[in-house]
Amino acid sequence: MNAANSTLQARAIAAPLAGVRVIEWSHSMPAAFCARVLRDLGAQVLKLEPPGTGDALRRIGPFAPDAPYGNDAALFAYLNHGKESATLDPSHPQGAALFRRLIETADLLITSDATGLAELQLDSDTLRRIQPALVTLAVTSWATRAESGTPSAFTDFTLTHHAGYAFHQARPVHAPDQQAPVACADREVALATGVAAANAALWGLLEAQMNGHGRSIECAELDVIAHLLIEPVADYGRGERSFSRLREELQGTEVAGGLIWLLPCKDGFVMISPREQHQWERWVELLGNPTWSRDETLCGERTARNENWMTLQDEMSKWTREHTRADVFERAQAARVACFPVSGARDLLENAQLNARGFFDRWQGAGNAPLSMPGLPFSMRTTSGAELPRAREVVSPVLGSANRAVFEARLGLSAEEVETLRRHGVV
Amino acid sequence: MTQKTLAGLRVVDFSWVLAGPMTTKMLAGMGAEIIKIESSTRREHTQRQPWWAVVNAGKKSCTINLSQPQGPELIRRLIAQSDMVVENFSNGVLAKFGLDYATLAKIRADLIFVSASGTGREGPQRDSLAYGSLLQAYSGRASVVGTLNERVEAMGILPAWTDPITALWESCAVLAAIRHRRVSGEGAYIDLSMLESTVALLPELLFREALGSETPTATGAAEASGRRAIRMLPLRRRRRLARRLRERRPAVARPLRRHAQTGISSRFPLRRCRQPRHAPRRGRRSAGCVAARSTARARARCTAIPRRARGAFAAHRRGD
Repeated sequence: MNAANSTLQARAIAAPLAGVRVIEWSHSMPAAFCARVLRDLGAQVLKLEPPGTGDALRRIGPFAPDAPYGNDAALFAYLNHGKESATLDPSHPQGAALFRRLIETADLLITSDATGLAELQLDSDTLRRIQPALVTLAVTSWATRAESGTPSAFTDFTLTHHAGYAFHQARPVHAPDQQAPVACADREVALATGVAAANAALWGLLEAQMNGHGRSIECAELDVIAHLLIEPVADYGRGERSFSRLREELQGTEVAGGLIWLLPCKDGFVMISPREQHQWERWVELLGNPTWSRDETLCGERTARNENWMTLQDEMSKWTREHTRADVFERAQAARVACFPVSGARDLLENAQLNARGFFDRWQGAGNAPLSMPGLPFSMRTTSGAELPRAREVVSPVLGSANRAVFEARLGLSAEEVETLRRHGVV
Repeated sequence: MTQKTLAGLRVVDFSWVLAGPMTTKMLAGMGAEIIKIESSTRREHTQRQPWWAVVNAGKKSCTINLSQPQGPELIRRLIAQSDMVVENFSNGVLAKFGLDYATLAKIRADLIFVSASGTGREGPQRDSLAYGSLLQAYSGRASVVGTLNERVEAMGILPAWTDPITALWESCAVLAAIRHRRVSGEGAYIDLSMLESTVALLPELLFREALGSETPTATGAAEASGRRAIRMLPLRRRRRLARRLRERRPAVARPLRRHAQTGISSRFPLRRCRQPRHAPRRGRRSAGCVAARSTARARARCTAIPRRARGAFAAHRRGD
């Protein structure tokens, strides 16, 4: 453990959501991530999983090869750090009764299926009778109240296309016929929805705190993706109706040419943006004020740079190819020109800034070597000096590890009763 | 009649461009009073049409020239009557005007101060000049969305991603701080990094590298997750995966060996998957195929395996 970590742990721990009790009854990644964010902020999260099999997310890779089978899913550890895990089948009558008793003491119930509660005869009125201040949050893929109805099958990938994000992520391109729309990477959409859902949950909790009664909230993945399309929505609002993906050559775009260049280096690429005139002047000074940089028609003003971005790309590349990414990055930033390397995974794991800030948590459950996992992207220090912990040890909940604490200590069942419920597949 | 959630909360908003304004717009939607402080010499709305109006709806605007001595003093008087400050200037800008958190907390002890920046206010790169688009490359996103190209086309740079994602994280932090303030009376200082906001949504990128995992990357070109992704891999690569699995996790690999002759496995189907040349006509489906019609997923899997294996597939489904 390094000195920075020791210092962080010596400080008082802030928990802005201390005292908030959350029940997560879901089978989706966005709902699980939403609950994890709330856990990171100090809430107590009880994850209810199907008896026997557990959450399906436990069976999604990548897996840590040296970890014990069943507790080896890295993504599951990331999504569920710090939660309690109990097994319960609410579709069983006895399970439904236990579920209701758990709700009595909860502040927030997170589900991933708006119809699941209805099947248990737990509509919003019933839930409010059980716990008037209960906030219910359904983190769905597709808003259940949508007029078009919910399609029978979809994935994050198809939703991203349906919402138009994939279209705009491949716009503009020089050959639209050959360059298909492109969706987001890995689980970005699911996790972004989780953060948006955490916002919704916090809003609901504040509302209940202020007015004394809970709300039923739905946060749909499709809506979240559409929410991210700021510029196209603004263009539409301004009257634009034809969104061509074809790039108009030699006129640049709002990104490449005049604003941003991707330049090759000895060991990869950097991206630079000397967008202001004073930044451009410092940039070409860094390049040694080459002859072409004195050509006003080529690059005198931003409009000229915008039109001639391809020529400038070639000229600037001659210099950057002679240097490493780190060298270009450091020199450009020293000259107050916005520039960063294009990172790969290894670069991120070794990134000096991320490590110095204690951004990465460590999961010891991976086996021989701890696995770095992203933590919260912000630090918080309260007036009294308490801080949200950073560089934490990740604890992935073992399936049903909180069963005794929940059913015996919290709900008052005897050990024999719990064992009977277990034999019947209720817990 | 109930009050809006954040009614009575006054926010002094120095933020500009996208992330900060999107955050405060969300707070405005919840009932907070947002006083947007703008430069009297550099009008942002003239530079950022058309989306400036989209992300600044519902706010009040106030122009103040901070370079005049009265400017910072006016701000301090305003903050004495406010609950929160949101800013995303370069490092040290507000401190230069005596408007940093340490100074303002003396004026208002329970102040919530949110400082968003490209790489964070601490650390060796805290002074880096950053834009959201560049951070999309620095965060690793550009290495996994699309393909790197000098035209910067279809590689996760457009449209803005880091900014709206940062806004989601930022409002999350703010709402938690507000709840804490209501309970304890304490203010808070929040240091938010746009770089970290983006990396936090790419955990698998890091896991694959650290674990040496061959789980395929979803680059936005195709659905690539779990079993479906593995099924899309070339046969040779699937065999290599299966071999590694047998070496590292024999307990999991057992079902793989058991079903290798049928091409059916819970994780890594080894046989080449063939699509039927024609959709099977009604009445000519095999018994195995009919038996497997219980779910859409099973149906999809059934049509993707060779006809001669379908009987075994149905038996597998029945648990024989």
